[in-house]
Amino acid sequence: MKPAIGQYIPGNSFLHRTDPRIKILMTVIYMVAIMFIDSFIGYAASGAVLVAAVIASRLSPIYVLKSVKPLIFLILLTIVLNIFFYGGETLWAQFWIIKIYKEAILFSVKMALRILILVAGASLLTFTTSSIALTDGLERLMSPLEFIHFPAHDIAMMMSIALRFIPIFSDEATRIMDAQKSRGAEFDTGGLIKKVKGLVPIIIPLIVSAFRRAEDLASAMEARCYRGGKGRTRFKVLKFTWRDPLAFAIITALLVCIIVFSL
Amino acid sequence: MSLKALNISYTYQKKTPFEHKALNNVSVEIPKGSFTGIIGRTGCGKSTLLKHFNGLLTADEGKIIVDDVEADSKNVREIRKKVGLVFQYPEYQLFEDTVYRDVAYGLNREKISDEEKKERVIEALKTVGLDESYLERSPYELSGGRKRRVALAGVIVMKPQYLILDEPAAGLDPVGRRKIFSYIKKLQTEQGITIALVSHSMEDMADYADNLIVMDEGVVVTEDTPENVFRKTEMLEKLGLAVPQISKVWEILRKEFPELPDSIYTVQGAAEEIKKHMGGESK
Ligand SMILES: Nc1ncnc2c1ncn2[C@@H]1O[C@H](COP(=O)(O)OP(=O)(O)O)[C@@H](O)[C@H]1O
Ligand SMILES: [Mg+2]
Repeated sequence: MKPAIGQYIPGNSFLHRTDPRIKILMTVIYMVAIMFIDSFIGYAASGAVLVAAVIASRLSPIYVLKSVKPLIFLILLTIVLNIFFYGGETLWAQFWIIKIYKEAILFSVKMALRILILVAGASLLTFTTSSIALTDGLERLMSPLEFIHFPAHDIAMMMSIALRFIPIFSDEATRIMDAQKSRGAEFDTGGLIKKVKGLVPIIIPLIVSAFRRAEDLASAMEARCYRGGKGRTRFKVLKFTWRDPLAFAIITALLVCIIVFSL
Repeated sequence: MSLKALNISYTYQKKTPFEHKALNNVSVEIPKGSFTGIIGRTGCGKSTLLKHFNGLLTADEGKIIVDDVEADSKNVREIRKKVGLVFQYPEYQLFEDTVYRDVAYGLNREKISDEEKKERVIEALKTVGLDESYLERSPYELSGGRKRRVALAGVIVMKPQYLILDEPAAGLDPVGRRKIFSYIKKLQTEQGITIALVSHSMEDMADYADNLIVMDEGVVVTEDTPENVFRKTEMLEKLGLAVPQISKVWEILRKEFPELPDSIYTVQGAAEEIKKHMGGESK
């Protein structure tokens, strides 16, 4: 199992110990702010916030870099598409019928930065927050909505189960792939169609095992008398400490500054 | 000719907080034609070692030598053909809609005619005690033990010279486990396939293996005949293992009758010694 997106990396840093509710709120505000920013100064500033957060998490920056690595292809694709199809006024270069405008390049670079910062920010949240804390925080944040019969607990429970099963299924996929490889399968050769076809021997056993695990989990939960969220108490109750308002204040202030300056 | 691991070391998830050194300077030899058992408590690195033998994992240090050829990234295909690996709970890897197609899956990459393919599939199924009536059935509707035998056939069909199995009898009932072991033993005696397998049943090891590798925490503690390994009761118990039940019975008997020979570890052997001791003549 490789450290994947969404994997919690245990630690004891400032960021690890901040209340998950605060971290979720901060991440959401951060993401919204990124959406508003439209200048390179703004990107530089929000990048600096990100760097500060990484330092506060005491994680090796390599994790954060690795978390955006799977997106490189997507980002390159958006850049290329934007350069070709986003029009503009100032013509910089022309090859045959392809015209490249200054505005198009600036726009696609901004897009790329936006995606990078978004993903890096989100993965910093999951790196420093265990899935239990994460869903606990989400449930508490959503709980006011229960007045309008919004199933906050159920959604949080589904999320925590989904998160919990990501590493299990990734392990299982590796295991099944190894098993098929040792009876002659090769997954990294051949054309695209061959490669997609080659996935069938992995996907079918994986789906079968997902159903088996779902059934097992359902029985296990029933055996422990799980009946949904009503009246459920907690072993670990979330409590705010001095860290939390501090972190919240700092990040909000920073982001407000960034937005105001870069609008 | 043998399957050799020379000074293998392997670390999982290197350079992360989850780093774990699973193998530490392991050297073992699985002699051609042998039935080699690998024992050791859970988490000691048995499965990790097995995965090195057919190139699913590449050692950080050390090398794997298959019949005097060093395994590397270029000859992985040939190595995998020579060394078949059956995973723990192999029935979870079945995916085709018929037994025939599932067993034949590994053959799809070989350039052989359809008739030959069919012949080989039927032959492989026969070696695990399943006849032609199973060919068109869905592997998913079979019983657990049969599913496992189908999965085993899917590796045997590749005609490996070395067959490595990770806990092939785990989770089966007594009849199921005896069947699996007897089919595996037949592969060794009748087809000359070298067997290396992991099992937690000391009785099965005593009955079938002729060479034992004992592992603990990523190192090989000893490699010897079952007779010599099962003599070391204390060492085995310290490693979280045990001697076969019959050896314990034998030790108690020997306290009463010191003239009995030592180191008996199979039921068969014990029965014969007792008969001899009681006057020899049986009806
Ligand atoms: N993918 C993995 N990532 C990290 N550690 C692993 C992984 N697979 C196995 N390990 C660890 O390596 C050790 C040896 O595992 P394994 O070879 O499966 O043991 P065994 O088969 O003897 O029970 C165990 O401590 C296990 O937790
Ligand atoms: Mg194992």
